[in-house]
Amino acid sequence: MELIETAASAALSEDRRIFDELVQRYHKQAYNIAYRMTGNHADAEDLTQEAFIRAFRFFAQYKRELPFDSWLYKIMSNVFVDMLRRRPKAQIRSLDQPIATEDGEAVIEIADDSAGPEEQLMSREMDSRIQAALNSIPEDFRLAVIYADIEGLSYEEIADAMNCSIGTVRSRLHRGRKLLRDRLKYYTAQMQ
Amino acid sequence: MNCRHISRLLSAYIDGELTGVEMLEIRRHLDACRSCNLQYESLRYTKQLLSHLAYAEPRPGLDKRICARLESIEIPAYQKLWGRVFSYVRQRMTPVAAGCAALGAMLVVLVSTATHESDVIAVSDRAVYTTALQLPTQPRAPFGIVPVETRSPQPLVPDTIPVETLETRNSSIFSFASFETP
Ligand SMILES: [Zn+2]
Repeated sequence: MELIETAASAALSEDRRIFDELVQRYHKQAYNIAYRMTGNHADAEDLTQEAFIRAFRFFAQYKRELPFDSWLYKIMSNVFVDMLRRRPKAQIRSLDQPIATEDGEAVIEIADDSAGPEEQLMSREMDSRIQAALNSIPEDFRLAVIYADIEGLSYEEIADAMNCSIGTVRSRLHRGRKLLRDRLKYYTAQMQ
Repeated sequence: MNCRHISRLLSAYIDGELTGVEMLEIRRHLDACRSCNLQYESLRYTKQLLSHLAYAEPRPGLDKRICARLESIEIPAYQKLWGRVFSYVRQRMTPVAAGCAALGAMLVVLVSTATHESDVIAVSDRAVYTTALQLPTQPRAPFGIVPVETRSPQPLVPDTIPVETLETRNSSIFSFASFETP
């Protein structure tokens, strides 16, 4: 038994080294999603930290041949759901200031149809409106939309991250996008 | 397909997540139907808006803060071996055989840890680990034949752990300070 424990703890410190590298490599990506899920920086930090800590606790179960971020997304979804369960219904955090971009003060001309949104810098105001719209839709829809449209995951990957079927992903995503579209009508109407 | 059917598939169409035949059929419909086409454009634009959101940057040093918290986490050595053994077993055996093997192994571990009460293993940790050992449900191959290279089974993840169990763990590790009721 002692021998086993020694071998195991050697493997543990090796895991720790590998895991530290993974933290370094993925923490920003994870934080970005966490921010879009929660809508504010304090919760985003909590969510990111908890997700990595849970990942570390169960690192032995992570299949090394699979991409780490897919596994992390799955954990993040669960940690996020747990966080929501704990949150007292009455307590609603106020939204943070939108994310600053380099010339964040500039208001973009969304009605200018010579340039698609690809060419435009997102203004701070617009960023916060979109984030507010995201916060206003049901969490399941929000997660699906974030994974698809911000992270660019396939339906199969989203189904894996959210532990549901591809059919469910399809429906959540569609309903989420429709709600967002309606809440961002001001912007989406101008392009038509 | 009528307009209602088309409109339900528009998001999947935008994401290219339909069969070739469906994609073609919808494209033809959109060329001919202005109302569906407007819907399509507005959804496509919504997707574009999201994909151009700025990247949210964490406060500097988030990686350091995470790694610092890892220091305080003790993973019982047996749990570690467990994970290895278990994932090996899951890769090589049918679900049923894996279940039996896991059960047997679990008994061995429980007996051995019960004899010298661990300094590292909290009782709740053991409970958590036991919960985490639930097997993912998989269709059974007929006549015990193992499918050669099916999609790899869902990785065994902490999502099988009930929240309540997690809450009973080391509270300094699992406290969500910002969510606690004041
Ligand atoms: Zn139509």
